[in-house]
Amino acid sequence: MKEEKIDRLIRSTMNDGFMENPSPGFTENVMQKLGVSSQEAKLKTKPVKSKWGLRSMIFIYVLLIALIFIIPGSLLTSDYTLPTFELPSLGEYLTLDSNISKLLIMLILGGWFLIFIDSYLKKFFTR
Amino acid sequence: MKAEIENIVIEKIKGGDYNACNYIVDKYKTFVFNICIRIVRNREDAEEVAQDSFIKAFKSIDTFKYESKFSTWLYRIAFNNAVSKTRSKKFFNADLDDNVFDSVNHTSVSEGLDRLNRIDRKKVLRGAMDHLNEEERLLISLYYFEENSITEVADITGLEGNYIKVKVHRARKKLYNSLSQVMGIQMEDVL
Repeated sequence: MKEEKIDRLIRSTMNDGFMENPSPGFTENVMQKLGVSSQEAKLKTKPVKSKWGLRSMIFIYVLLIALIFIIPGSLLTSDYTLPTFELPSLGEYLTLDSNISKLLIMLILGGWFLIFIDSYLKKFFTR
Repeated sequence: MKAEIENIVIEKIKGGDYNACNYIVDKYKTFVFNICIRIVRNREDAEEVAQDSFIKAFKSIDTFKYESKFSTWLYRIAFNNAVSKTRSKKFFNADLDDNVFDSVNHTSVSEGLDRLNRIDRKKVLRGAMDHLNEEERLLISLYYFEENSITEVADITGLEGNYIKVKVHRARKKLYNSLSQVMGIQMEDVL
């Protein structure tokens, strides 16, 4: 019974600032060793540009350009033709044939697609 | 409630959110540091070992399966880290034939401690702890701090429960005796 009382008193004393304290920068040092500084913690809330987004953009652009060079040939054998555009004020010099119009359409649609893909991937590849 | 918060934080760290480590470091740094300083016996080295213990714990947090208290798991890492740092595996190999002080007057110790105020009690306890050897000081700290049981102390140190039980029992007796002596000296000083 007496032992319990002594133990209780020692325990309460030990848990009341009895221990030696580490240096004030202890926590910060651990966080730095972990690679997390307070500045990084603040930046964490901002989205980080995804490398995968950039890679996928390059890949899809290359793919689109390749398609532009492959598809026109195959279209020559079919009845399907893309509309041609003519800028009246500039006459025949800027008449857009089907391949050029196709290129423009693909770049515009491709651009929209890439913007969508990049923002989608950012959600999953941010730290 | 605190345990629930701690579990949420642990899950966050397991999910790779190292920002959450802040909470764990702040909560346990004092005791982890004290375990290390008792073993490596040097403040600078103890800081380094304690910090490395936290890093090690966070890197291997997936191995923590809630089979023990998180503190026990963490203290064990710190303990092993500190022991391997000093390479003093003999730290706990002292035989059990220590001087046991059987002439402790529990009543006088209990009443003496009870009469002291908070600050004096700390002073007396610190003085009494100085009479213990390193091993006893570590065991007593592990036993009293955060109400660790003998089983938990055994878990932390990786030693057999019975061995710890005997060692802690003897260390407590020595501490009571030292307390009695220190309080006696203090009383003489006052008179």
